[in-house]
Amino acid sequence: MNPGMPAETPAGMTFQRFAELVDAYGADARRWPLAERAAALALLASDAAAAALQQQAAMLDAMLDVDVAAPASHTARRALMAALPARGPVLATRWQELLALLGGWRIALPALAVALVAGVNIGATVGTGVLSSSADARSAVGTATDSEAPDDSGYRQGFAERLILDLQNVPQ
Amino acid sequence: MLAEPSCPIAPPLPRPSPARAVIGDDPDLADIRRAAEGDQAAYGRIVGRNIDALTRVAERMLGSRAEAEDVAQDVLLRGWRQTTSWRAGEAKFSTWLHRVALSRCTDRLRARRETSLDDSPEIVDRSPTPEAGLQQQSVALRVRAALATLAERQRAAVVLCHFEEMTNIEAAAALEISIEALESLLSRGRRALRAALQPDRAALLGDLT
Repeated sequence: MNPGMPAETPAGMTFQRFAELVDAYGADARRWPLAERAAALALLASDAAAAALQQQAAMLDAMLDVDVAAPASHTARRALMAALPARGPVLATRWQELLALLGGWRIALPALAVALVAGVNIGATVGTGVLSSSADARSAVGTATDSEAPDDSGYRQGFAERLILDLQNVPQ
Repeated sequence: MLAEPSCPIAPPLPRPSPARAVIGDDPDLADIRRAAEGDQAAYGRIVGRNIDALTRVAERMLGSRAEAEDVAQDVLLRGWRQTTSWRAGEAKFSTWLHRVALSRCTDRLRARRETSLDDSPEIVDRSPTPEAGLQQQSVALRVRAALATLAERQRAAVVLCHFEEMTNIEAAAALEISIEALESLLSRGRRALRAALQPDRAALLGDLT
């Protein structure tokens, strides 16, 4: 720290933080974080020790900058574009459009789940509550079998189970 | 003597590199939407904006130009598929591409370690630029060799922040780490580079005059 300077500039940049910035990002202010750049430059302009740190970092920067990597070759670009698989308006895109219309998957998916749960519950209620409470109803729809009748334990088949049994009992 | 850097304390001017843009300002976004509909020309523009940086990053990570071009091609082909499910606003497309490229480089470096006793990256396939003199090539090769000695994450941090001039926010996003962790990697990486180049410093400085 330069003994003639305060520990912190009015802009809030300490010498310690300046040293960390130069240590990490090097001497070029354009590589410093934007939010701290102005304060670091203000400190640099008034602190000889900060300037010395920056000069040391500049030497390493200058050596690194000699290493220039060539851009991608035209051959590589052409090969890449030739390798792109063609595609038209894909089904996935259409599904995404539908989802977007429904408000995106964050809304559509929970809504679908709620609808599914509600449907199952209604089905179960109708199957085990309303209809099964009435022997007339069961006989009226012609779906009653021996196996699906409520037993003494109070077990009642659900709507889906009854539907499967119905399908199994369809006359060939 | 080492030539003075041209303008090490330049005022904070914006750089032309798209990597300097804030995350919400993705220059690839409009073309991503077109590419998702199958527009290859739109994706060609995305390729044009990103292939050089991806190739450079992979080359510095792997030390091999041929492998770097393979990685860039692989990443950009994956990017083409990704356009159909890309969701804007979470990251810039270029940041995501760099993240995938670094992951591919990590895979290749791991495979090298597992299949070869010699895990030092190759320093090959480097075509000199027409203006580069022999001395500069010599320095560049020594710098590249020093870079190859860094720990993988340190090397990636230095490559993204110094060579590709990414903002700290974008580099941290590409590496999937915090800003603090990025600065730690950068500091350790630069110190290691300085130490690696120190024995040759006089010669290197002489080469640069």
